[in-house]
Amino acid sequence: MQLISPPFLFFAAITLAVYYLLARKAQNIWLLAASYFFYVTISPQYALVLIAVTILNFYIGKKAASRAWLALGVGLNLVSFAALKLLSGPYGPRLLPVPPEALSLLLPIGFSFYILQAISYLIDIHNRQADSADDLVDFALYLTYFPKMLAGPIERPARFISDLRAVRRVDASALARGGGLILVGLLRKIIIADRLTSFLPPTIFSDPAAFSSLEKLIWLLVFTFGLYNDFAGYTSIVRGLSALFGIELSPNFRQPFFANSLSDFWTRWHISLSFWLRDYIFFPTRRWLIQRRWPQLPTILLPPLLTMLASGFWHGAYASVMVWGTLHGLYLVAEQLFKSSRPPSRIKDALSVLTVFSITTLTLIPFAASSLRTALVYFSGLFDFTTQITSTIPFIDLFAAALFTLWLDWQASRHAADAFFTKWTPRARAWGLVAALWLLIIFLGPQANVVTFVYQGF
Amino acid sequence: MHPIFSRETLHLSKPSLRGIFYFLLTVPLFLLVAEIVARTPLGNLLPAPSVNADSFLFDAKIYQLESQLRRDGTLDCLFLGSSVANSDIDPAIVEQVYREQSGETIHCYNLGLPALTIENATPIAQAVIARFHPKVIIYAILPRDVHDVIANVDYLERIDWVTYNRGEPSRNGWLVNNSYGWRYFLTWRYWLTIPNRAKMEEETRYLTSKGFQPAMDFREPYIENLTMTPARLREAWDDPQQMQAVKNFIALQQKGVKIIFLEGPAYHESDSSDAQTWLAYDNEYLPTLVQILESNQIPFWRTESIAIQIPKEHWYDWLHLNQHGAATFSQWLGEMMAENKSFFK
Repeated sequence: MQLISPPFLFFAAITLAVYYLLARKAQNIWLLAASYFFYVTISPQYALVLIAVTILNFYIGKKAASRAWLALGVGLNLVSFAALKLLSGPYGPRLLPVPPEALSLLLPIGFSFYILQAISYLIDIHNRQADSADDLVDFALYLTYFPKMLAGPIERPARFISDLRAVRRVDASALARGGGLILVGLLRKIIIADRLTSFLPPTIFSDPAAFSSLEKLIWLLVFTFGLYNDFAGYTSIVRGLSALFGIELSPNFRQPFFANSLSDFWTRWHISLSFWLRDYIFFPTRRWLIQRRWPQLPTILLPPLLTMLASGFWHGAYASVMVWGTLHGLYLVAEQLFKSSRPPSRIKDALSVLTVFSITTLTLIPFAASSLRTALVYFSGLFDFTTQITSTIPFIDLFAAALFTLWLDWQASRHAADAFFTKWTPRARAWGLVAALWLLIIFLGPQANVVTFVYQGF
Repeated sequence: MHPIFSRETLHLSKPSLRGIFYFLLTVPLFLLVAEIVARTPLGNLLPAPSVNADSFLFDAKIYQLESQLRRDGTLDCLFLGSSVANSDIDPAIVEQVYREQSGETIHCYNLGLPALTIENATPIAQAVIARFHPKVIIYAILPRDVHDVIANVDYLERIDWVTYNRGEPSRNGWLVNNSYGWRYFLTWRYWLTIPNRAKMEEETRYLTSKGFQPAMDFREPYIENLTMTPARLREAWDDPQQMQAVKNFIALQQKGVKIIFLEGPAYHESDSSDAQTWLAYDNEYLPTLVQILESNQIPFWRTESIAIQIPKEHWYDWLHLNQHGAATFSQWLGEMMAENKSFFK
């Protein structure tokens, strides 16, 4: 059952309808049952893994105040995560003599997301930032709550579990906000991300030599806007859906293309992951180095490098994506070392935004490429300055998609909210709804091909 | 039990209600605008509303035919056949010559479709008869129409527009038959797929408002005659199904339409190097066809006399006339029709 599909719509409607009739405790049990049902429809073979991870972490969590139990719990989670990532990646067949197709099935869907939540649960209990869950249902729901199960956002235990313990209220504005977020997410996914993805030549990131510099540049931009809208669209849909259940999910994006520094970028792109990495890797590493009085340079150098390397590994245990992480780590180091003390100005800010956009987009090459060698070919090919266009490039569609993305981001930035439409005048909201419905109808017609969300693959 | 809703939860906020109301209003408005646009010259400024045929030429021809029928009120003759009909017969010239020769006005349309075979043509013609009630169908027939192993457009038989007009009710069939809004939506959906944009342009290039699509100048590289070879002509009627296909088409007479078969013109080499081919054509292929047609009292208009008069530079390739040849041929056809004007009354 895919998130954007008639069966899911039916499933969500039934789940909501029953949910609204139940008392708080029964709501959680119902949500857990619905979440497992949802998970089983996607990958029944992995439900047992999910149950095992849940029970193990729930009971270890009860003893996580002790350093030994914490180490055991975190260690088990990390080792299983690292092993599954490695084995299911391109190097898996070298490590385990099993057919690659079988190895690629090793990593359960959503594992990368819920395992991080399990780790933060244990650490937060140990650090007394969260209480261990009294109720297995609440804890299980923390890991498996179906709107966020497949691709996040990665939630923290203290807030999420306390939300589950509280009585939920869904008023008219929450309904409008939730519905609006779902619409915005659908617009991003269906009329921007899926359209852009459908234009990408299938071999652009595996055989870049066949394309000119200009084509490479255009398709890289298409990939960037497609990836962003795919994930931001997903997040918006699940945040909106969760709002209908009266449960607030964390935001994942805050106009990343408007970032004026690379550290700023990581507070805007996949926020729930980057904040997780910041809180559980960056800060502890830096604290540890400072407490042990390491020299200044490694204190500046190591935490961002380690953090971004971990980010790379989380996305995939293979060279090119690790290089993507390392590059981002190096950018953060460089930014720290060469921080400008000049007062900000509009021009400087605009140039910074452009620079950050260019750097992050170029760095997506190893993220998207099929291998490190291919990434190098792609990157060097960009500077051949060849301009012939052999593939069909739908410039009008690309321009419209980019413009629409920037308009949505501008609205969110201007109103300082991803549910920006709630700040519009009543008339604008009414006509906005009409426009959104029409756009969805004309793009989600009988021949529409809704593509699986990219981050579901992690 | 703690109710999740506050008192106002189900009181939809005014903007949402207003938005849904406006949206519901815009739906009939869109449908109305689409009907107006499609029925006025504004429709010519837009790509044709599709009947979801995955052949934009077919979409365009059906739309043109509907527009023509709205304008003229009657369809006196419909040309049908494969690419030869499509590119050789200009109904505008035919109508003009007919008027000059007989002093009467007729309205014709060319529904020739590249790769159509007589087997495919029968269900399509059935749908066309039910929808547009032509008085006469003139089918331009070639040996390949009864014995083609290279190409056909059998998928057209199964499209909603054809099946619905042949009497199989369906929601999509009703929509493509009755709603230009739906059809423009289908055109838009078709256009969204990038390769289709070039296909739309390519498939309808040079198409006139009467369904004539001239082949321009001279085909480069000039393709060989592979379908009309002595061997192929000899086995044209080997399969009894082919004979049945012709008979099925002829049976459309029962729907109240007159049928004329027109020999598809083909190029004759001036040095008689293709004599073997024409011998096989005359002795192996033609007698069976003539016998079927005669036994059903269907006129068969031979075109050899005009084909041999058309110089090589007026042929696009060995089988298709170019724009100059098509003008000559259409002139001849108009005269032929005027001589047989009783058919068109």
